[in-house]
Amino acid sequence: METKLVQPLLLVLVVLSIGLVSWLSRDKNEEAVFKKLKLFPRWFKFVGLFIVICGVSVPWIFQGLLVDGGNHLGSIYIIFGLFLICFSRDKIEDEMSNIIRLKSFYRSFGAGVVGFFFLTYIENSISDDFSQLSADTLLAVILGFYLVSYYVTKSKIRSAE
Amino acid sequence: MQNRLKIERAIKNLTQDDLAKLIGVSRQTINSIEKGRYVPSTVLALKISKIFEKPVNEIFELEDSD
Repeated sequence: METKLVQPLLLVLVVLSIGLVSWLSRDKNEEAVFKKLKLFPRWFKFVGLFIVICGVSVPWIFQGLLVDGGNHLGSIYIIFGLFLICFSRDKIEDEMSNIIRLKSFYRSFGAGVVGFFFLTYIENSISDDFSQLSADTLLAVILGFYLVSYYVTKSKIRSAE
Repeated sequence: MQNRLKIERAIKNLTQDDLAKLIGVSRQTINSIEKGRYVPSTVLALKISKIFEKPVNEIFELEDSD
C-alpha cells in the first residue's frame, strides 16, 4: 500500500517543483509573456535528456523493474523527459523559432492523429481482437516527431545560408 | 515581400551577426528575412527600421503577389 502511494506522491512533487521553478524563472515583463511562448529554462533540456537516458537504461539494468517483460516504467520517464526537452528554450529563442515550434507541433499532432487511426486499422485488420494504440506510445510518437520536425527545420534553415 | 535589408546593412557596415545582436534575434532569422523566406512581425520590422533610421516601408515593400 505504502509503495503504491510513493509514486503518485513523487509525481505530484515533480509537477509542483516544475511549476515552482518555471514560476520563479518567469519573465517579469508582462508584455514579453504575450509576445513569446512560455517555455522552461534551457537547462531543463539537459534534465530531460538525463531522464530519457534513465528511462531507457535503468529498468533494463534492474530487470526486476520490467513488467511482463516490458519497460512500462521506463516509457513514462521517457515521455516525461521528452516533454521537458520539447518545452525548454533554445540558446537564442526568437519569433522565428517560436513559429518553427508551432509548425512542428501542428505537424506532429496531425501525424499522431493520422498514425493513431492508421496503426489501429492495421492492428485490427491483422488480428481478431479490437485493440487501440496505447497512450504512452502515441505521446512518445508525437513528442519524438515534434523534436525531429523542429530540429530538421532548423538545420535546413542553417544549411540554406 | 521584398526587402532592402542587405543593402541597408552594407550601408551601415553591419554583419548579419551584428544586426541580430542589436535586435535580439538569431543570425538565422536575419538571413531568412534577407532571403525572403521569413516575414518579420511588426515589432521586429520596427526594430530594424529604428536601427537603420528609415521608415519601415523604405526597407520592406509589398509585391503584387502579396
